[in-house]
Amino acid sequence: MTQLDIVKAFLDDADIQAKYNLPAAEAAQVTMSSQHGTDAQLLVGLIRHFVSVTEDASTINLAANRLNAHLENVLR
Amino acid sequence: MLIRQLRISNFLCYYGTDNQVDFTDGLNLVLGANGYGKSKLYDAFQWVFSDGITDTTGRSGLKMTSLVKGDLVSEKAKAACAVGDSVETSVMVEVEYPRSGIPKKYQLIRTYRVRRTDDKTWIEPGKSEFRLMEFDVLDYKPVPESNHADVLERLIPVDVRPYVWFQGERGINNLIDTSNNQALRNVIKRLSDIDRWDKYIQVAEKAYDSARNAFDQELKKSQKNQTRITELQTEQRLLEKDVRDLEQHITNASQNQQAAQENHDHLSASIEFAQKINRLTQERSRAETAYTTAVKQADTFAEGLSRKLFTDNWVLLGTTALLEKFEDKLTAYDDAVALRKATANLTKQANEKLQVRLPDNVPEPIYVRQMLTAEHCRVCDRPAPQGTDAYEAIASLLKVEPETIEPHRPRQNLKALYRQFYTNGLGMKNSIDDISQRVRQSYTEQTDGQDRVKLLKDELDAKIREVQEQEQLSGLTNARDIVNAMDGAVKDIKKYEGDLVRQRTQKTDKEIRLRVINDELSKLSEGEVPPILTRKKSLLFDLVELTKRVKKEKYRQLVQQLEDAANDHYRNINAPTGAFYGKIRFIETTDGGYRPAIIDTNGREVSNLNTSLMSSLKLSIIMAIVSANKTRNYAQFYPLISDAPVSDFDVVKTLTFFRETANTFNQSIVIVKEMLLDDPNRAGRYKPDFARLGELKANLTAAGQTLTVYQLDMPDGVSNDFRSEIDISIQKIDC
Repeated sequence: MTQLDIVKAFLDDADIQAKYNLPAAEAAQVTMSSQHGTDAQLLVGLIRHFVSVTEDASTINLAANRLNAHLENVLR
Repeated sequence: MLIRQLRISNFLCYYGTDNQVDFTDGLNLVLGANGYGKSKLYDAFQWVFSDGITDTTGRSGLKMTSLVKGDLVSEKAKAACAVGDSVETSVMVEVEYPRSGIPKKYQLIRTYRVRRTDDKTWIEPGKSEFRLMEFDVLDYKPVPESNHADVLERLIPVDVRPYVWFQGERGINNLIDTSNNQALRNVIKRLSDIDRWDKYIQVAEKAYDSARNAFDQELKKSQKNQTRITELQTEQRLLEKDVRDLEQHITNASQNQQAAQENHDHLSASIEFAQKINRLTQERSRAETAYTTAVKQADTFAEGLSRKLFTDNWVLLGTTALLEKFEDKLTAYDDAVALRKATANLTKQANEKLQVRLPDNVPEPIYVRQMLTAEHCRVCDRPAPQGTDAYEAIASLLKVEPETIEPHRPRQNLKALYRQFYTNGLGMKNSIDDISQRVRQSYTEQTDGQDRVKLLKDELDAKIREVQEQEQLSGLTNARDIVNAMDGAVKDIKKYEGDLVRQRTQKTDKEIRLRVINDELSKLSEGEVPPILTRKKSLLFDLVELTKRVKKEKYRQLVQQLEDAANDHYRNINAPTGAFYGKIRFIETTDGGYRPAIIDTNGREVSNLNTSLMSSLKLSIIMAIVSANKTRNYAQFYPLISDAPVSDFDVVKTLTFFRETANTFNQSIVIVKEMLLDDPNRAGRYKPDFARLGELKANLTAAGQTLTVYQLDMPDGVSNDFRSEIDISIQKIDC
C-alpha cells in the first residue's frame, strides 16, 4: 500500500469530508482546487504530512513531534 | 517460492535413493491409494522445513525428530543393513525464489543416520542434520548456518505456512474453526497489514496529547469560568485515565482470550479422544463398583448359605417321615407305659395271691423242681418216680406257682416331654416340607449371583480393554486433565468474551462523554486561549478519531474482501455439482469477531451443513485467505501443498477443486487417493483414471494451466503388512 493509497483511505472517510467540506471526488484525487475552503486544504495537507512522517519516522514520538511542528508552521 | 524437486532416500516407506519428483508450475497431482505413502510424502516436506513429521496420535503439531528417531528410516533399508553398518535417510527439496528479480535456487537437505550394533539394537541420535545450499553460478554452495532462519522465513514465512500447507480434514479444521468467532479475526490479523493502522492511531494520539497539554496550560491561565474549566479538565483527565485503563483491560482480555483460544485449539485435536477416554474411565469405575458390590453380595450370600443349615432348619430336610415315625413311637411308648403299668399291677396281685395260697414250710419252687428232677421227695425223704402219685403230688405244687416276674424298676414317665417334642415337630411340619424348595431357591439365587459376578467381571474387563485401546490409539495418558483443561479453556473464553463486550461498551460511553467535554472546553476557551492552540487541538482530535474510524473501516473491508474471495472459490467449487450450496457470509458477533455461515437465497442461515459443503466452505476460506490479499499475494509467492483435502468430495467436486486450486495458486502440489481405478492386470494394485485426468488436463490447458501427475505405487506381491518389505515408488504419469 503506497503512501498515496493511505492518504486516500483517510480522505475517503465520509465524516471527515462532511466536517471539512471536502468533496468526495476531489478527496479521491487528493488535490484541492483553490475554490475550496482553507479547512479542506488544511486537512489534506495535514493528512499528507501525517502519512509521510508516520511512514518515515523511526519512532512514534518523533513522528508526533514532526506532525505538531508542521501544524504550528501551517497555522501561524 | 516454487518447489522444483523433491528427492527422498530411505525415508519412512520410501526405500532406496531413486525416489525423485520434479514439480512444475501449475497443478501437480500425486495419486496414491490408502497405504501407498501419501502422508509420508507430505511428511517429507514437513521434515525438511520443520524437522518433524505428522503426529498420528491425534495431537496437533508435529512429532519432532528427537521423538521419532529411528522410525524415520525405511524399514526395508534397516532390514538390509548389516551389523556395524549405517543407514542414512535424507530428503532434499530444491526450490526457486523468484521475488528478488533474479531467481535464486536453493537446496534444503535434511539427513538422519542410524547405526546397527547388533540384530535388534541401533544407535539412534536425537538430532537430524540440516544443510541449506544456494546455487551460485555453477554449483550449490552452503549458506552459513547463521543465515538459515532468515532464508527459510523468506522462502515461506512460518505464519503463512499453515495456510498453504495442510493435511486432510484435521489440518483444515485447525486453520478454520467455524465455531470460533475469533478465528477469522486472527486470520486477518496474521495475514493482512491491518496492524499498520495502529501506528497511525498512536502517532495521532501522541500529537494530540502534546497539543492538548499546550491548550490546557493556556486555559488554566484564564480568569473566566475557572471553576467550570477546572471541573471539566479534572473529569477529562479521569475519563482519559479510565479509557487508557479500559484499553489496557481490553488488550489484556483480548490476549487472555486469545491464549485461552489457543489452548482450546491445542486441546481440540485430542479432546475427542480425551472425552471418550474420560467417559470410558467413568464407565470403568462404575463397572468396577458394580463388580465389587456383586462380589461382596455373593460372598455374603455364600456365607449365609451354610448358616441356613441351622437358621433356616435345612438340617431337618427329609425328616417329615421321622415325625410320623415319632408319632408311632409315641403311641407305642404310651402303650408300653400302659402295659407296664398293667403288668406291674398283675404281678402285684399274683404275688399277693401267692402269698395267700402257699402255706408256710412249703418248699420254694426251686426246691420243688430239684425234687422233681431227683424224683425224690425230700420233705418225707421217699422216692417219687415220675408217673407216681408222689411225683404228681410234688408237681402239683408247681402248677400254682406264678410266673417269675422281674421286679418292677421305677421308670420316669417321659410322655409329657415326648408329647412336647411331637407338638413342636407338628408346628414345624409345614416349614420342613418347604425346605427343599427353599434350598433350591437359595442355590438358584447363589447361581444367579455368581453369574452376575461373572457378567460384571466381563463388563469390567471389556471397559478396561476399551480404555487401554483408546489410550494406546491416542497416546493420551492424561485424558481427565485434558478434559478439565478444555472445560477451563471454554469457561475462560466465555469469561473474556463477556469482559471484552462490557469493557468496550464502557470505553465507548466514556469516549462520548470526552467529546462533549472537549466541545465545552473549546467554547469556554474562546477568547482565552490563542486560536492557534485551539485549532491545532481540534484538528489533531479529529485526526485521532479519523485514524480509529479508518482502521475499523479497513478491517471491515478486509472481512468483505475475504468474504467475496471465499464466495468466488466456493461458487467455483460447488456450482458445477448442481447441488445446493448457498453463499458464504461472515456474520459479525457481539464480541467483535466474525463467524462464517452459509446463507440461502432468502438470506436465512443454513444449519446442519453436510460434510462436503463444510469442507468446501473451509477450503474456500483458506483459498480466500491467501488469494484475497492482493498486496501480499501469497497465492503467487507460495505453493499450496495439501494431503487428502478432498476426501469428502465426489468426483465432480474433486475436479472443480483441482481447477480452482490451479487457478488460485501459481504452484500447487495436491496428494490424493482420488483419480485412481483398480488395475485389472495387477492384483490389489491401482492405475490412474486416465479419462478423468485427460478431462482435467484439457480444462486446465484451455485455461492456460499445466497439469503434472505422479503415482505412488508398490511392487506386485508386496504387502503393507510387512513393513520391512515396503518400497513405494514414485512414477510420472503421462496423461
